[in-house]
Amino acid sequence: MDLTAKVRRRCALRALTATLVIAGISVGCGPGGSGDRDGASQPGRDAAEGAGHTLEVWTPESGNRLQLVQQRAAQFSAAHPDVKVNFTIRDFGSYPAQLKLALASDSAPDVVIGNLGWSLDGPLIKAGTLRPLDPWAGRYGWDKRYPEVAQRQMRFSADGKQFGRGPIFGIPYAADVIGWFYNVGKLAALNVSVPATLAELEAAFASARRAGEVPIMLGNKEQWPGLHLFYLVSNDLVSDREINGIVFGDRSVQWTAPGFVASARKLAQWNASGFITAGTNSMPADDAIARFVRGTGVFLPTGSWNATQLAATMGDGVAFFLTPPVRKGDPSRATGSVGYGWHISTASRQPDLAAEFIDFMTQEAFAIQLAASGDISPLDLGERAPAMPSRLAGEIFAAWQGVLANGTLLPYLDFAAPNGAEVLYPTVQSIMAGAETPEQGLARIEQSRREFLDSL
Amino acid sequence: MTAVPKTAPFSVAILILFAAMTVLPILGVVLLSLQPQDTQLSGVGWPDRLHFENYERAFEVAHFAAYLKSSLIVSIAVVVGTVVVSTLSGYAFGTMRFAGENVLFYLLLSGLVIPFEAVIVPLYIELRAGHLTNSYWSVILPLIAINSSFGTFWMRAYFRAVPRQLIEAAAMDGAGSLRILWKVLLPGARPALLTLVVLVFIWSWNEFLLPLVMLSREDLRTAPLGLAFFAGRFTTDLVGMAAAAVMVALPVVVLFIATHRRFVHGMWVGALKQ
Amino acid sequence: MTTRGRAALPYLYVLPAFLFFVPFVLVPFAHTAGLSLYEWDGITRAVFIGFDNYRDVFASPLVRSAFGHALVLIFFFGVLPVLLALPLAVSSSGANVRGGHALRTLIFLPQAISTVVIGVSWGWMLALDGPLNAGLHAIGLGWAAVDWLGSFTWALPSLGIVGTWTLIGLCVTLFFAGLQQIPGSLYDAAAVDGAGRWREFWAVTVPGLKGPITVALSVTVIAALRAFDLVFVTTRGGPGTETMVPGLLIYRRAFEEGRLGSAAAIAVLLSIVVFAVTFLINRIADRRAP
Repeated sequence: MDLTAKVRRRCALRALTATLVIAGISVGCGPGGSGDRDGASQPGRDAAEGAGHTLEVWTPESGNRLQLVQQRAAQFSAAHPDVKVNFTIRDFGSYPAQLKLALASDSAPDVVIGNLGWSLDGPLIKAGTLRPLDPWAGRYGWDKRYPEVAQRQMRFSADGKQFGRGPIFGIPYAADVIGWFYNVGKLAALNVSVPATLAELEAAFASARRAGEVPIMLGNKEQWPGLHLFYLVSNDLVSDREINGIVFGDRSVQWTAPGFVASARKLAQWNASGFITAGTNSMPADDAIARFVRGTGVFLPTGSWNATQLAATMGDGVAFFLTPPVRKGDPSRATGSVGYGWHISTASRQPDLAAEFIDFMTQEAFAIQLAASGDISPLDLGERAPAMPSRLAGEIFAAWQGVLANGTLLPYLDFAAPNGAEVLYPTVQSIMAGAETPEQGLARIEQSRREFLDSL
Repeated sequence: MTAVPKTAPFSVAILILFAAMTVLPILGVVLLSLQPQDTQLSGVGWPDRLHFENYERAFEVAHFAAYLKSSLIVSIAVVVGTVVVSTLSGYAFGTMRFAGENVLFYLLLSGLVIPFEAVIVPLYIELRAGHLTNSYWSVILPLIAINSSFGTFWMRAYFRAVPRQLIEAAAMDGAGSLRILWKVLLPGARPALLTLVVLVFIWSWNEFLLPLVMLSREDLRTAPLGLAFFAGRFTTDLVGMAAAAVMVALPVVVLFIATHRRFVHGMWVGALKQ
Repeated sequence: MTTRGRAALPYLYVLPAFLFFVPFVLVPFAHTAGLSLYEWDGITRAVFIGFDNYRDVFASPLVRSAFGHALVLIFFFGVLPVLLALPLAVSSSGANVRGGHALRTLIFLPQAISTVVIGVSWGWMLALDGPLNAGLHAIGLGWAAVDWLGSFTWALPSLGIVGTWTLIGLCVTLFFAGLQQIPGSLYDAAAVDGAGRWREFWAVTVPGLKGPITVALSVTVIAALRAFDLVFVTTRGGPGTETMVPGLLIYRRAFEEGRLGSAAAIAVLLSIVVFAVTFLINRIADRRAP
């Protein structure tokens, strides 16, 4: 028989085998479960043989924070010569999809960053891909490390149905708060002082517009930055009870409440008045920051995670404040969180090593490092807080401390459901653009939320 | 002899216009990739000098060497598999009579119409269960399957047009079916085969959805995937992104231009056989 | 070789193709149909819910608008390129067109380029301060320089034009090849009848190109209905949900939101639409036989 036939036979044989395997498997198990739900093993050292260990770590982190995290991880490797830490980094928008695929694959990572509430943690926990961390929490003292109010965001019921109570699932390392960065020089040039009320803020926008400046620099291509702008308004116009109710699943609270409608309407007004960058819908968030740094835009509404990059490039030319209250003198309310946390995957074969890694990454020493670089820590550093590296960092730190002290920290509304990308973000974007009315959009968001709550 | 419809000079101008409109965006991106790093967005113009370091940057920071290698492995494997499989089945459909041949042919052809999105979810689940995800097989095998629809159609068309006498004469001389294929038919099939090779290579190289879902491991990703994630992570490095885009498109474009004379001839010949 | 052996021979030749096709295309396709009757997150146990997914999908405004957008893209990806390619192919087949071949190759080039590259490139070109708008300003049409891919009105048509740009070359090549096969006698006859260029185009050329037109429409319409790559890389379905297409919705539901049953239902629907439209195109082509 000539060569072609032999080759053909071999190919056919291989294909046949593959077919039989696949056919057999697909016939045998239709949709089925494979989630390994055995509980965490007793805390102790994983059997460490001579061969090296690799910890697979996934994170959506970027910029300065990512650098610090990777440096800290390198220190961990240095202290444990047989351990290598391997990072996989994805951009924030693609992260949830990519992480879910990875967790379900054969090469599931050991340690992963999640995102609070039902935005990512909930679905992952419900699918059984994350381990409850209580056994290690006791051992390493994680439940003593964080203030009680913070722990609410770290807890989830083991069936993934209730956010805010149950075992601890994630250990955070960098807190965040959303506010207004502003170009000091430009504000001074407008003869405007730092706004003390919401009305003054809006007046500042108008002044900027008249002077030919871009009042609000916003890059909304990914659609969630617009939601952050919404938060800055809802901080003032929506009650604590309503915001917490949406986030923690209280059915008596609805998105169609007057406070939310007013906030959405204000967003649309600001856009219609030309306060928001033209081309915001096709501008990536990072682009907006880059332009702000290069000198376009008076105000940049975004989170404290960008502080280090801004301070590094603009020095004292950039400063920060939280959304001013409606009534002068009231404390500022701010949207923020203790930060997304490190989780251990159920599939991980080295949970103890993973726990040790997580503890190392969230210790006070690292928190001090973060604070020294201009980021905020979820830990109460008290006397041990380092010197602030920039005026900007100082302002953010003071704002964060103030919010904690006044108890005016509000959780992110997109913790409330896992389908933010499908409903919440695009709807806020279309309300802002005037493509639909606040009532229409909010009604749709509320309906989607109802469907989600019903499905739990 | 086919005559040609009357044309007028100005329609040639329209042709040139369209060709220019097609090429302009491509040229724009190539030029962009050679600009200095902090170029403004609307920068279409000749750069002060050719900044080839943008390519270096895309190569190093974004692991493009690994991505290009992955793409090459996948594309070559798919081409080989598709050509072998399609030639064999096209030969049978094109020269032999057998019961159920129409049903089987149209069944195979349905692959042209079935949208990949309809198949991707269970395909992912099956391959995951078979421990094949995060390996090149998870991309190669389905691509061979889906491309063999077009491949079979194409080769069948070619074989059908071969004069029956040729085949019958060889059979009369005692040649087996395989020898007929190898010695008699394939030598003349070069244009058709070349077209098939080029098309399947292009389609495999450019395939996006399948690797996006199957390959979550960094080191296995194919070039278009690498570009998409590079663009997502480094949104402010516009020229780096342009350089990456050029690198992803270049191998296929080069292949296409190198073979375009024969390739278009092959399509012409193929189309004629219909 | 025995008669039985000889009879089995064709099947052996056809077997390899089916060894790939069955497990990697047909079986998953059947699976999708089955999966659409379940609710499943991909990891835990699936729950049988009958036709609930279909009920949700038909009632969902998002799904309806996604299919609506696909119809819009059919116009830009299919109808427009075919209409533009007809005169182009005719022009380029003129005997006095040197370099017609080179020009046709250039027009075909976008077909060889990855849609990711195309998406990234056009994303830059259509930016608010990108080259297209810069050009518009330069020729005094500054008022028309909008944020193409960020506009609720223009995002979808902009993506459509990118599709037109991509697919014209394919159509031109197909039509050019087809033109070579129209018998010269038909043109001679038309000339004898005193037909002008216009008449000749409609009476001889277009009917003669029926086959290639059908193929072109089928291929481009399928491309429009799928349209995943381009949207994923440029707008991801935004702004709002203005550029959401079925392919992207399936990916989102299945892999980002863990609603595999719902994704499967949309996939089944998409397949039905694709089959129906392809069937329709071929049916109309047959009916119009001269």
